[in-house]
Amino acid sequence: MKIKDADSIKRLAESSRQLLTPSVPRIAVGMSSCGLAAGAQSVMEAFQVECGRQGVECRIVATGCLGFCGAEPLVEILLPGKAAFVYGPVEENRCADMVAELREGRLPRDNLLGRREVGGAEIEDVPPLSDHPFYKGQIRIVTRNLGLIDPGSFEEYVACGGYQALAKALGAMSSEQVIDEIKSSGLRGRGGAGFPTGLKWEMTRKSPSSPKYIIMNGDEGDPGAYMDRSLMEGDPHALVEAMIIGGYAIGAQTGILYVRAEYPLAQKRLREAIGQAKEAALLGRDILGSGFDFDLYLVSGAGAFVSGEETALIHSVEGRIAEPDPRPPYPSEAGLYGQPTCINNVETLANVPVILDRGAEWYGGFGAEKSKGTKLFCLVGEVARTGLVEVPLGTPLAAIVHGMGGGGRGGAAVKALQTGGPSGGCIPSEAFDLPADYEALQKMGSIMGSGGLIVLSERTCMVDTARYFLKFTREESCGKCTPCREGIDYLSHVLDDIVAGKGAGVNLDAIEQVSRGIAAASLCGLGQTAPNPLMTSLRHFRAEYEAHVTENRCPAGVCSALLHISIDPQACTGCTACVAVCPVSAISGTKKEPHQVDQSLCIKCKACEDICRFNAIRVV
Amino acid sequence: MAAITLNGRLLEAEAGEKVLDVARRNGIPVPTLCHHPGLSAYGACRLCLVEIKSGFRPGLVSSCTMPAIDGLVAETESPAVKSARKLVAELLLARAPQSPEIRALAAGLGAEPTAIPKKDELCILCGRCVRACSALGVNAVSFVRRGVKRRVAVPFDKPSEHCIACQACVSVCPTGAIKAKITHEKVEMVEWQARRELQRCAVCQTPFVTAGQRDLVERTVEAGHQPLGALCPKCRRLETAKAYSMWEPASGVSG
Repeated sequence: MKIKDADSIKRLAESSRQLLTPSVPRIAVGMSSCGLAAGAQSVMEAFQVECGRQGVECRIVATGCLGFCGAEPLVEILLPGKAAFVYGPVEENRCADMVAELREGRLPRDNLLGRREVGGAEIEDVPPLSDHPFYKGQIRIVTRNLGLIDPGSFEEYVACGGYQALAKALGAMSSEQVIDEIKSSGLRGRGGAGFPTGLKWEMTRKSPSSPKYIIMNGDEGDPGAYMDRSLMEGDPHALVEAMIIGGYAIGAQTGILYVRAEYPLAQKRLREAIGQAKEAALLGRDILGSGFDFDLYLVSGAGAFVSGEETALIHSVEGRIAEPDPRPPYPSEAGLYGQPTCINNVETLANVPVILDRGAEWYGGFGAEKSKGTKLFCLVGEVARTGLVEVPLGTPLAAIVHGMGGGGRGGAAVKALQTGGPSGGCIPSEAFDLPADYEALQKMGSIMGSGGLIVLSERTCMVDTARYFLKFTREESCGKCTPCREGIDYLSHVLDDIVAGKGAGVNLDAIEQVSRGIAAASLCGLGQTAPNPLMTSLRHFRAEYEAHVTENRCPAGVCSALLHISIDPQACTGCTACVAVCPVSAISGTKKEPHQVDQSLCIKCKACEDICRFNAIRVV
Repeated sequence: MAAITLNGRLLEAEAGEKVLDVARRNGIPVPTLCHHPGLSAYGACRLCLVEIKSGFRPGLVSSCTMPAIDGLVAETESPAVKSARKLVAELLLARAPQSPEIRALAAGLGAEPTAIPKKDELCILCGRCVRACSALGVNAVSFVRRGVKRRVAVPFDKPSEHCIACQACVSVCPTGAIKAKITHEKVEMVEWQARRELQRCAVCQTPFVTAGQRDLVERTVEAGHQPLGALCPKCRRLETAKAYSMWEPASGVSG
């Protein structure tokens, strides 16, 4: 169906609304990569089989992710005239019972997380989902459609108000007005650096040369960060719509969705969305009768962390090696094929339609003074509740880690938070009243980054964590410039030595100085930020480094080369549980008498510590 | 006309000039390694760093790529510049401790061997060879892999089909890391696994050029000019002279 004007979008929205609130129960299974990994496919199939077998008429759909990764697979059951109920985790073998309960007109109660209002009668004894500790304090602007709509359905996106921002922009606003709206919203780049988006658009628009290009940077590569993946998989049309608006604003007729090769589902969903938008004539010539032409292409990334760097990304799109160029010139002057190019992060773009839809003033009502709107964070690591959270910028870190995340996993004390992935730094728990905004994090020596929040507990070794990230950047450095290639290789080896118990001669001050030098002298953002994990942990947890280097001791009990595992003869009852579990037969002794560990065999896996019921294993 | 301030001196910059060009034209020394006046700017070695004080985002930038923007104020010997260059030199010295050129360069920048473990490389990945080969339109060599595993190679490390053994890479390499074995009749590019016979001069029959080199010259000379690729330099000189003068050698062409 071709959509020719704004009115036909509204009509389609009207007629598609019944897809989201059908007259029969609607069972939505979160089928993003995260859900699929947790077994959502078989849950969905089980619902299909059971509804057929038990004769329950249902509309079963695959949706994106509701964000609560720790409770996957997530299922939402919408009951006509009532509300939508969110469950998680839903095991495959529970589906039959749930369908049976629906057939009998009862509300399934197991693993019920909360209710989402859909304008029907409320069921009083089920609290709203927004009261669940994981969701409390979250504001879902960017993720408004995630988990609610079928990402493969153009109609469901339109039913949620999709493409109305595009109609508004093309029909009632000039390119300059669109840019002004984005500028006054205060939206800043969500990829990490926080550059004002409206200004970036304006600079590209004002660049004299044409054609111009707009590129979506979907090369999300930080370990533990998956905000962009969730958006691309769960709400692809929002990104297509944002790209058309962006193209209109900067004066580009070609847009490129650059998506890393490791995200096949995101690529598939975006390709489908491009196809549907083309079919609806929302891509191509004379969009909505405005005279504006725009085409969108998907380019698959080449599997390197560095290709998220703007100039490297441009090289990659051109089919060349993804290595950065020094700036200036900036891509807004000379980017793809030497032409003015605007590169925006996925999450940044996902904000665009809603800003145009509801206005800059409304959007500016969320967030902190210099950081407007919301930010997605991936809360992972040693935390009780893992997941994707969306909070207003400026939300204190404590509210995210302890509130939504529920503190350390298994009750462990939280020691620090790694923000911004391998380019970021750690923030000690004493500073968790810090607001999550660009400036505050930078002041702590970390960065906002794309939004990875890795929780580190008392069971995490800071040296080992820094070693992990430096090893990552060592392998992901393109190798073009000397300080990044040779310098990070050196730092990485030093950290390897320290955790391997060979750090006796290491001069921590000298290491700090080399780190500063690499940050100052490197060509691109990768090298300039790569020493951050090391520098910040040295700054906040120097004692841990010193314990490794001078006392040959790992205070967190992680670095196996520095551990000594023994059995306390007073506490050991000789139950032999540890003997059975030791993978290298390092433990021996007579039954019912204290046992011993053969240090020459022990691999310090701590399996004995986990199994011992008498607290007899000593790890120092 | 743009004007920039380097080390407190107000200097004029011509259109398209980089900060490095202005510095060198005015006798301000700036060390370089990956820079070559005949090749595109690359900004990889980070030796030519200068510190921007104002007129652009403050901090260290590579002067070989930094345009001489009007009003730019920069320092070429500030403490930040000196310590960054010294670190780069130390890292290069650890990578290529055997290279006399790198040792001399490091000594000039006050860099001495450090705790950084030594590697035994000659190639410092400046990319001059890659850019020279690309500028000639041959593109026989390129960077492969990334990070510490990065190196210059021919595709799949198989004997190169495309190398024309012109040795441009050899002549631009700052550390002598690329080897060419030249005999009377052939050139062998050791790293690129390319062995090329030398073609004989059409007049004096002395072997002097590889077929690929000759073709490249013939392809790239301006239209209307007589292709001279078949003549050795000496005979070409004589042939050219003949066309412009009445002079002719008394008896054939000899030494």
